[in-house]
Amino acid sequence: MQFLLNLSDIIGAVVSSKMTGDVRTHAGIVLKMFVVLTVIAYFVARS
Amino acid sequence: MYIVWLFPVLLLGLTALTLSSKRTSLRTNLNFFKSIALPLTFLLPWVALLYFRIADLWIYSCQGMLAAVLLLTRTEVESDEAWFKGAVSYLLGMLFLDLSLHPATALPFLITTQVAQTITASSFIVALFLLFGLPPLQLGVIDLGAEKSGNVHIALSLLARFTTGFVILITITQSRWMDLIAPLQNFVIGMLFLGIALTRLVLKLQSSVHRTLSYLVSSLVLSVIVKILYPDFGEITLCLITILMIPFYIYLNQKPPEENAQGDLLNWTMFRLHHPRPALHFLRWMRIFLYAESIFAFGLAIVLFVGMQWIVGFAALFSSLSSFAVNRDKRAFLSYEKAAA
Repeated sequence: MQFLLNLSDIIGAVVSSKMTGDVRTHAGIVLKMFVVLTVIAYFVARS
Repeated sequence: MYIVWLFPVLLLGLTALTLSSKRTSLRTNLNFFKSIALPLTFLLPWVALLYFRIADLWIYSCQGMLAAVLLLTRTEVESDEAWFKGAVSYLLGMLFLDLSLHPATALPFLITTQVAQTITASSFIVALFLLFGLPPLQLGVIDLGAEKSGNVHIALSLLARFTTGFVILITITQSRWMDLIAPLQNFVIGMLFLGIALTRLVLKLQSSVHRTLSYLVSSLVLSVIVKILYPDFGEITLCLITILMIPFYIYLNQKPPEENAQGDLLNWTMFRLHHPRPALHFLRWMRIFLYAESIFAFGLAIVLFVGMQWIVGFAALFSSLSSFAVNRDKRAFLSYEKAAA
């Protein structure tokens, strides 16, 4: 039961706007870093 | 493979550390089921390592372990936001690790080896930054590590990263992962050294004791660097760093001044005020730890310079100097001299 409650909690957190805003910023930084690193790594691998 | 047997001993030892908490209110925070389930969950990847010879399964078991631990500690973590960001960090980190292990899975088109190498290396770096809480991707893991409840802090900050690190190191040994990373090895190591250097530079600016400690635990990523450079010494470095972390937790394990007062570990000021001697010991041990880390990174830099690996050598030197400079900084918010005075 606790497990189901926790799951519903997570879904609730995803839906609530305040948290998604913060998490979106975090995920945005992750994505940007991945893209930048991939570009740098590509040029390093090519050289 | 003696290290495979050292892992459960160390893990259960660290769990015992949480159970010996002097704070009764925190000890009863986790119910009986959870205090048994938490250490057993951390053993899951180890069981997978022992009985199966499939690298993917090890990574998936680690992913499942992190998900289970996060769900078990859901109600205990004070800040919902920190928990959510931590969960996103850990699970995104594991997804990037999967991507790094199989860069071409489920793609409807073929990719060249060069592109595969590039994706493997960059997702490996992003995964390690996320899982070990290195800046600029420290938001989730370090926030989760700021948790003040002793046993939950050890589970989420130390044990989760220790187990993940262990699984990554064993997967590196047993799979052909590093063959793909080999051409970009220097790039990966350089970035990881820079990440460590950044954690050291912000270390003394933290007002929360637990956050400082969480940043210190980030040095577990050094073991991955050692593993890539010297495959035989990775696991032992991981275990050694984890053992060196134990005194910090012992100094933090203090009886509150009054049974119901929980503010004594709220931040550095309160910690020094209520527990002056343990706070001094904590800072002294931190000083020794940072000097040891600085000397270790300096040694690596020298070896790399001798091997003509200039760029990685400079990254190691930068990491060593940042640990050293932060340790020498007497004007920092958090300094040993201030505590002694």
